[in-house]
Amino acid sequence: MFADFSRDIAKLRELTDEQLMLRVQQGHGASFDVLVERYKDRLFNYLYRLVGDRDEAEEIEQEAFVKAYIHAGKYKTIAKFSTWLYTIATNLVRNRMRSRSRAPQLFPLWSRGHDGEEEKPIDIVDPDRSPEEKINDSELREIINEGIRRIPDKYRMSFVLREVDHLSYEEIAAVTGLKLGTVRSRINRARNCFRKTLAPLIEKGIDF
Amino acid sequence: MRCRSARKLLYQFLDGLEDDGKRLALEQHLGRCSACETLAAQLARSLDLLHRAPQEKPSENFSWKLRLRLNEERLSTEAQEVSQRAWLRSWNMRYATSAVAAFAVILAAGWIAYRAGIGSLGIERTSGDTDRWSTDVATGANESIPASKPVTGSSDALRPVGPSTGAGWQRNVGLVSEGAPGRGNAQALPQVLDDGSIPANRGLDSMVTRALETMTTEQKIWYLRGNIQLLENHLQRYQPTEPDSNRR
Repeated sequence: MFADFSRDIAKLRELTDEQLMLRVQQGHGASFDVLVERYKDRLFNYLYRLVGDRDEAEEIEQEAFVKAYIHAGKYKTIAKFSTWLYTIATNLVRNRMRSRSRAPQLFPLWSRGHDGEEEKPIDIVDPDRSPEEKINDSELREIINEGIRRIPDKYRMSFVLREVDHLSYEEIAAVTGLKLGTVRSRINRARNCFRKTLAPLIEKGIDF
Repeated sequence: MRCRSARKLLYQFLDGLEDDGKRLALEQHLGRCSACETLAAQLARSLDLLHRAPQEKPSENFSWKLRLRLNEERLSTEAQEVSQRAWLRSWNMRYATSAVAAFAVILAAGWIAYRAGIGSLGIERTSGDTDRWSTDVATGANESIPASKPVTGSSDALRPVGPSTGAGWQRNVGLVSEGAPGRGNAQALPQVLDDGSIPANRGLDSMVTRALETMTTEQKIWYLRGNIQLLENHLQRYQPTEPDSNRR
């Protein structure tokens, strides 16, 4: 029985996202499990880069999968499943950002990263550190998080979708609902902002 | 090449532009412009760091928690559907009850209106042979009956045909209960007074029309004959007098 189950799962793993979604629409729960396994890390990475908090990213991800499951009937195979899923997750993040902008004092992390913010040098790494001393993974993680967090909210989404999830410009436009030109300019602005945050470390020649 | 164009081109190369001519032009510019060169280096290095950063993963029990949540959602959706169905059923019952109640109210209202219509014609349902309308005529209590006209004769005079054995009000409308070819339509018939007049009454025309519509031909003939008889009786009984000469 267990062998049969494993064989079924292996067969399901060979199917495309869209084929799996069609099966989910017919009430096949195991197909959705395969989709969750396929996307849970990617989606979490995206959400974590956006919100900068593990618990919150996980909460949003869970909500996104639940929404995808409940509204599976609304999914049309003309769109890529990944785009659809990212759109759901992005809208959830947007809703949270909106509610947080109404109560910024409760979420100080989110209130930063606006346009016109004075660029401050990143202070994660010890200034007395010698350039030869290599930065470890957790330090790199913090540097990256800080760099992303300092990108203004409206540029951050497109930037993460492009540089973290490697989505095409067309896909980003579909997920964010922006025009292609707007996506392009926002990504370039975000890249420049990210560069400015990391520039002091790069200039120092610290080995990553 | 200007710095602005060079930076624009730089972003395009980051997005995978493959154009050897443009690449050469950009490299030449970067060789001449140190600001653009620094920018290009920082940009490439920062993005490289981002791509090298370890991928963040959800907690190990994420799938398990998600499955629990999905199950909860599934159960709550099912419960919601069941409650919706139950509500619909109860709503249907309520709807049916309300419809029956409304129908009953309409029937009752119709009956009351119908009774009120008969009352306004001066027709009273009496148990005996005493005709209340005759009393009304005598006393002038009923406005629909001309009290100034002389009222003589018994209630039998109102019978167009045959003896009176039925209800008083039936006789008042010019019908006999006995010998009539069917009594079913008697209630719908209008009143013809013994002086031959038909009291003015709203709805009278429609009542007559309705009554005649429901009658058989035999019943219609019988009804009209009865009224003719009544008028003839009246003419025989009352001689027209000159009101002016009486006064003199």
